[in-house]
Amino acid sequence: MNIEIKMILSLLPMFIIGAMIILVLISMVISRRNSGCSLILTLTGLLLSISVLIYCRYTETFVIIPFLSIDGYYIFFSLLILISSFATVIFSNIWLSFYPDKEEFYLLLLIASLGGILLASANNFASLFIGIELMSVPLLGIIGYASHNKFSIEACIKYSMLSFISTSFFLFSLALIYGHFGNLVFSEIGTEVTAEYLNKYPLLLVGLALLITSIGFKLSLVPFHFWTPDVYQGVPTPVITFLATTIKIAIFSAIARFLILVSITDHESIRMVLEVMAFLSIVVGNLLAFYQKNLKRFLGYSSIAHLGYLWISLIFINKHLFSLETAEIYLLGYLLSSLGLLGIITLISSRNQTSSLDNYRGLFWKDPVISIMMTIMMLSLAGIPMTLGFIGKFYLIMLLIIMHAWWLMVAFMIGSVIAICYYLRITVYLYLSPPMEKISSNYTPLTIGRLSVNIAVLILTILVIILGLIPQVVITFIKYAHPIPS
Amino acid sequence: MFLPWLIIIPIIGGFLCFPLARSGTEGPRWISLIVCVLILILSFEILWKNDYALMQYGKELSFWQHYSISWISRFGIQVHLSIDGLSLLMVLLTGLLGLMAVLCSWRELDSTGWFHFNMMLILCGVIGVFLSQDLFLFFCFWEIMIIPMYFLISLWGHKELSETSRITAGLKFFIYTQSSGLLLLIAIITLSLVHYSATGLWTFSYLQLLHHPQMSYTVEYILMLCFFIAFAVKLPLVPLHGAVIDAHSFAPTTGAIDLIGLLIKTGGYGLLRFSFLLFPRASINFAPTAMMLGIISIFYGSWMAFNQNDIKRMVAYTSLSHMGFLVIGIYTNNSLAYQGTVIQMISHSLSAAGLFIVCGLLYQRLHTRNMSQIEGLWHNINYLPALTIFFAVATMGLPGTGNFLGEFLILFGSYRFFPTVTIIASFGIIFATVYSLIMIQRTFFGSPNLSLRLKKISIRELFILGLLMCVLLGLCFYPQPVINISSWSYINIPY
Repeated sequence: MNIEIKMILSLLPMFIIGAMIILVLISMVISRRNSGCSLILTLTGLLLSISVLIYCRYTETFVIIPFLSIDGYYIFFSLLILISSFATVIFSNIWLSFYPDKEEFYLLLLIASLGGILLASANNFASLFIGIELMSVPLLGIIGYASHNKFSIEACIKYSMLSFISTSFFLFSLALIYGHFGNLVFSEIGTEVTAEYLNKYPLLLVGLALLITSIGFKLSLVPFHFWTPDVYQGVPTPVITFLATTIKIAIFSAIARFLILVSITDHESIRMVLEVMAFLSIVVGNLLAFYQKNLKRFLGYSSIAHLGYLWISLIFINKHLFSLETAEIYLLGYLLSSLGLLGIITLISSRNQTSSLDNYRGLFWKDPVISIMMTIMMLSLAGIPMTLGFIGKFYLIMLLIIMHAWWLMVAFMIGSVIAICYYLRITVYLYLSPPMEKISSNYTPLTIGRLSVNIAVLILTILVIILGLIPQVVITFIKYAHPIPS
Repeated sequence: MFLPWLIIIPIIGGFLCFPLARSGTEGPRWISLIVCVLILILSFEILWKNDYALMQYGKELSFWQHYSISWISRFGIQVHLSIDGLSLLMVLLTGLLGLMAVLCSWRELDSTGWFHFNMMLILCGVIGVFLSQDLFLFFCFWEIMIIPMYFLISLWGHKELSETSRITAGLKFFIYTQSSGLLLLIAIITLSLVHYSATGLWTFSYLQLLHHPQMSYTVEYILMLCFFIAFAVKLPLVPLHGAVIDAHSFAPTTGAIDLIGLLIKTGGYGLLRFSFLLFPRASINFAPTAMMLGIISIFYGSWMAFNQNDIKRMVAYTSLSHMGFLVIGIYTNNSLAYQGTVIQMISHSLSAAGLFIVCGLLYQRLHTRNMSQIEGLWHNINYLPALTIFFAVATMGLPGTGNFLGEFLILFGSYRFFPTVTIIASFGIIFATVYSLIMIQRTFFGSPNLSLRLKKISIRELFILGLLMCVLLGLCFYPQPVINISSWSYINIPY
């Protein structure tokens, strides 16, 4: 067996993050809860893992150990997960400065990212379940971190209820699937499953339906989306960053790997269910986002719509390598632009505590650089040419045409027209004349925390534009990011 | 290589304006002025440097200059620019109208760098549309010019109206253009996919897609319709005219000029260059329907124009009616009508620009656009009444102006093939006379309000209108250069 050194290296992030969790715990004891220490440890751990993964990015080989597949697919998705965790840490710095206890936040975040990486490499229902739980349980702590805020408590309770319900659905589906196959490995299940096979065993179909339901809850797809806006409204913006990017990418990567290896979408009714979910998520998410006045709720609904677009690529993922490419490009665009947008919202909402749209009125005349960056992020999310978001949209349209999915194309068209309307409506707010009574803006001094968020957003903006202008770089990169079935 | 510079110069100009975005200094105005002059100089340079004798009159398409580098090799997308007679004329027109727009807004707006930044981006997008030979690139430019336009409408819109109604007008414009743009994108991708599935090669190049393999007639027809809708929204044609008319009545004077002169032309240009060549069979079968829409536009536009009280809305409807002639010319499919179409495109945008500028000047002095409140201006603003009459007469297509030549050539060319359509369309000219004369009569005749002492027309304003007038007169009395230049690209538009 010939294992490249890079493959061993690419396993490293799990160990690094695991070690950092212990180190943060130790440092909490030794340094008498000096938050700077744990912050530095967390950032180094994440940065180290990111650089290791970037070093290993062009690998053709793969390793499969009992629970994990270490391949290009894992490297790509872990990179996205770690980048978004890194951004969350940086963004949360401003918000956490009002809190006495900061270390636990970093600790919980590290554990959840470890769960995310595990999900990206899970090739087995057992590791999938461990990953999901490793991510969801610390998430409860993160969501409820602002425990003095009653909205935060509400969000925490809502999320925990739904999280437990979806976990129990997941476990039940696991039981049914295991009961049928006596096996939990995706690739071995995949060798048996065909459309005719599924037709013969209705109980297996029930199990798969429960699995889809549980994943639908986690990804907040319509009709399982009701918790999203409430939870988003209740938590601080950095936590939204974590919810909207890290969690969703991790779960998406796991379910995508399952669907690639096990071709359940060949079955007529399963495909129809997925199509209906995508259709509804796009239309309902966009329509509801259109009517929001609160920026956080708006973000919740727009993330539902984006996940709906991504869900489309899952429907065809076992037929064509192109749909995986679509999903990856779209996800990268979504990640970079929503991280940028959330960073800016973190900056602005740290000045004034409300998340109403009125805070953004006339921002351009006070802070031109930030509003230009926000405009670029909005345009990228709306999919306007010369940004990375457009490349994702381009891929998606191509996928829909290749697959002759005309109903989804209709949904896509309706959705993207509505999306452009609301993104632009918010954007134009930035350039209106500022309201008179608020002209005496409370000037906030530039701390290190704010500066680092500014720099992070600047880098993200440049990336969105550069990668949108020269998408070939990304396309070459993701050529290696596919799971190789054994 | 001049071609990339034609696109890069406005971008550089825009970004130079940008640091001055918040200060109301003179800088941005001079920068945009220089950019427009540079575009004009560059395009004249291209015109003079080319040796037309070398042009091959063969079956292959030929362009004067090419510029191409690889862009996204995964899909064989290139940055491929080239220019021929038709695109050169359009670029020249763009430069001229850009210049007018800059001069026009010289004093009128609290014009900041942000305004000029948007304007430069529109210029860049429009020139890009005229030059690009790669359909993906074409679509990028096509979309790029919409966003700044939205900002111009919703931020600098008509002052009398509330902010929300301006934003709504901008949004309406955006929804129309954006949804039709999506159709265009889907059609472009489908075309490329058809090529890929037949040959195994990814390409978005216009020249290669022209020789696309046979697709089924239904597919061709649907794709052609997608292209047609996208272009018709920008023309505008009757069922799709709502957004553009609204945008006119809400837009600032300069925005209106841009819209009419630049965006509209991309619609006509797109129909000429893409719709017909890529889908010849479907287009020929679609011609009667398109002409029908053209006739409806002619009559609907002129009747609506006759009904308006708002002077700017009236001008917008007149342009709708002229676009009807344009579509008839394009779908007639012969060389005479094609030459008429080119002249009509140029002269119509010049005359409409003139009328829009006149509206702006009147509004500056009277602070109303309602024609029923304006009366007896005949002796009031020194040269303005005379100039207005000239542009109104040009709009109705009186001999001596370019519009006459354009309409004459279109009708002349189409009579041989579509006599009925031509006869019906000719009656449209009568209504053109009616609405332009009624406008003159309402605003300039009647009992003068003697207490009104209005500011005289300034040298700058006189220069703008005078220049437009000279070009329009020149187009009729000596149209041969324009016909020559455009005929060099006629072989690119073979029927």
